Amino acid sequence: MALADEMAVTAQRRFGYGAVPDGWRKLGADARETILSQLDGAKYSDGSGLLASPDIIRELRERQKQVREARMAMANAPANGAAPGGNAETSATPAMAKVPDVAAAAAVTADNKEIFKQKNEFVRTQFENEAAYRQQMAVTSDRPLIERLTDFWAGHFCISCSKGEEVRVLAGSYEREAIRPFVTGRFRDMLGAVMHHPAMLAYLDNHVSFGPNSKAGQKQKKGLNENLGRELMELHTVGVKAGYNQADVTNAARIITGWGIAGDKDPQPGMFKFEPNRHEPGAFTVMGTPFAEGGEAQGEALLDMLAAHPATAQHVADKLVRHFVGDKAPPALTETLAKRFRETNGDLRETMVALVKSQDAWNAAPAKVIPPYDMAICCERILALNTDPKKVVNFARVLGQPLWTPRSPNGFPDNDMAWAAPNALVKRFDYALQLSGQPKNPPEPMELASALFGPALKPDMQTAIKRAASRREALATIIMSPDIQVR
Amino acid sequence: MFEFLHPTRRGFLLTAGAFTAWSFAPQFASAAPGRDPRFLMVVLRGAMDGLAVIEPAFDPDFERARAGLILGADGTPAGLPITGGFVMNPKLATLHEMFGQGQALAIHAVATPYRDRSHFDGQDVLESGLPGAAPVSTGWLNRAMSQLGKAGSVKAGGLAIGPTVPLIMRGPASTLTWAAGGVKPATEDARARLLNFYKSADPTLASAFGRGLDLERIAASKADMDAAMGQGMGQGAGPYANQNSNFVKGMQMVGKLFTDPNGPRIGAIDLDGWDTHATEQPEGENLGKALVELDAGMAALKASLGPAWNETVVVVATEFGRTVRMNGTEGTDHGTATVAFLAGGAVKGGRVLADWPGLSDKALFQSRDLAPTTDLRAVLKGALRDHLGINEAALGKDVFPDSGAVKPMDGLLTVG
Repeated sequence: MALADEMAVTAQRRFGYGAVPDGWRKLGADARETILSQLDGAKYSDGSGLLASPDIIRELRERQKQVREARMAMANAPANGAAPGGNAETSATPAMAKVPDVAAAAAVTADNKEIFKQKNEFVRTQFENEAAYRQQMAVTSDRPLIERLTDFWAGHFCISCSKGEEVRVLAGSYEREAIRPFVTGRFRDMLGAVMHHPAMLAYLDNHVSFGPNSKAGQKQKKGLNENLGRELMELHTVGVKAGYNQADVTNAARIITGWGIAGDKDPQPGMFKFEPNRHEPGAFTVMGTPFAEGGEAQGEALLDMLAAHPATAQHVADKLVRHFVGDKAPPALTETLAKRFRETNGDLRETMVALVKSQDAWNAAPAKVIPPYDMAICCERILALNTDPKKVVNFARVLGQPLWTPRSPNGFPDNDMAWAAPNALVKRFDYALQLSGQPKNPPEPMELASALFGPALKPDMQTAIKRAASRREALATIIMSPDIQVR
Repeated sequence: MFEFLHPTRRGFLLTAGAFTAWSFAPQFASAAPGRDPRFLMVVLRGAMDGLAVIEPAFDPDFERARAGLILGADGTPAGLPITGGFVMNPKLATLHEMFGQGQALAIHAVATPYRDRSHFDGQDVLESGLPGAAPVSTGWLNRAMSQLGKAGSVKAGGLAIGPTVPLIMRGPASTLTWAAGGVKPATEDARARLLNFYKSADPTLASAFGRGLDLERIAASKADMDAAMGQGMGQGAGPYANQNSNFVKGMQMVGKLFTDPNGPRIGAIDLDGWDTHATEQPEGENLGKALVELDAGMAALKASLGPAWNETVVVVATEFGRTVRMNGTEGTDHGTATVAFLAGGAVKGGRVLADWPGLSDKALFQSRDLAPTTDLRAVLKGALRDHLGINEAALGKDVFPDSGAVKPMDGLLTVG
């Protein structure tokens, strides 16, 4: 096999969503250059046509208000209907009065149910439209590396719909607004966008965290919630091994008190808002660096320090290498990336260029079983499907990767064999079989395999295709092959 | 460590049974005639607030320290008094019943050796069995299985409920997984053909896929049996009977697989929902809801195991506890010591075991957390030794490395 062909197959697996028919041809003689060129493409512009976060928040709040009012009306309605009148048989007047009341109560109930339904519908529709946009981007993009990076960074700075509808409704817009524009930009810019986004502030409770000595904290007898302060350090920047202590965490949480979401009476409801009244006054030290009191600027200075900390470079490099190459990648590769990250002040494009240019990233054997969501995307691309996003989301959920809903703030697992659980592999095959029955004009399996892998097509896959009991089973076998399932 | 009989009698029974002759315990109790022990580890992810689950209502500092989080305070249902002045969260109705029947016990002020407050490192330590956070690829329950010396068969394999294998179950001993949900299954023939392909193309995938098929056969035969008997998923699950709780379904499947003649006997399952930073509501929509699901799972497991419940030990543990005092948002932040449970017919229950550290400001760990006075590994070792017959030397070296100084706790079970 020619080296160029081998690199073309590796390129699609390692830096994209796997092989597509004739993809290896299109990558050309220099797969590495083609991959690098994906990093240089146009900056992201949001063509989703979907609502922006502040608009979503305003609409959700309005609908939540209607639900609250409807609940109150429901609580009052039966009392109104039953209260006056006493015995209806002896007194005509109250009985007459009672009938419309009962009817009114029933009408109120029906209307209210409709209001509840519409609010839930709004949240669901919002989620589904965003899921559809994400799927379409991943399936149709001619720059799959950008989609992989979006997924990586959305995982690094993950939020989770398990928090409730106020996060669920924003999960997709968070990715469009705080992640996508920065995947080839600066780490500090992405960190800033994340820390200012209502989805993150709500997910990790910062919008309800009060400086105990702030005006509002004193008045309302409320205090600190250290959730975001901790994860900012542990997960988003320096990492748990960076050598900070509980006091550093508490101080970080103090510094970012007041970072919240504008309310309905504010000029820009649903946007980020710094609330001086909730901000803990005073100077605080984090990891040896003092931060003078300065309101919102104090928090910005903290983000500057954390983004520039060498431990952050190490943490990010380690995660990128693990994600794209594998758990057993040479430590020198991580060093290369960390160095580039530091040299360029956290330029994520340059950091990725260093990864793609490294020979280690190409030499390492495929090691990672792909996550369920990625498998679903691979299937769409291989079989040219247009599966209902609800079905894709459901498949990933059943296999342990519910979209935008990791179980905890450290995201979905990313070690090589995390997704290779025995029962899950059996279910993958079931799903592959189901999807393989979808195409109206199914491809000839041997031709598809040849188009996918070209000269790199292996004899044992050819044998497996020939042995399959049906065309459908043969297609599912291709999808289940190690060449697709492992990268 | 002693059985907690009365709050003022700290130190009582401190020496009783402390030096029982563990070395005379049979090396493989599981091989003993007539015994077929089952062991299940329930990992509660997110750090459960032990003080809101088992309240030390007797503690003179309790009401002050826990203001805002006390059971039954704001017209919510009162806690259920249990032994020694402790009070159990009323959302744990099944577990409370098991307490009354002597089939469940609690260990309070317990913690792993981990003393920082990262969920993820904390869970790694809970699952790896190491003395601290360190890169590791195997879990203590898997290494414990290796000690049983009969790896290879399905029966000897470990069971992990869920779509991925948690760290606690990773390691040299073979592991099966089961998760609820899925689409129409492929035929046996098609599966066999894919397995053949993997055998030549990728031995790792072949091994995992093959184990998946083994379990699928057992689970399928159980489903057929249920259908024939007119039963189904959801039996005995209380308020979750008709709800979509994968945890409850998983607990039911544990029972089914643990009672199959060729099924696994050792398993792990986990449950999320314990990270109560804001609006904790010990009896409400937050912590209360998580407890209801846990409780429904325990009920489902017991019903599903049938008579095998008598040979079962379930350990319920979380990575660490939460702050003693309520935080600024009616919740609690990451803490240290908490509560763990042992349940099952093989447990000598009805007790709260604790070397109670107190809740005065001075008594708190780093002025904020319930101080740890019992090492969770002592509890786990006691259960593994007496229930599965793993000897103390192996427990101190292979299962929980570098833990020789942590002695297995005696007298947790009706045997041993």
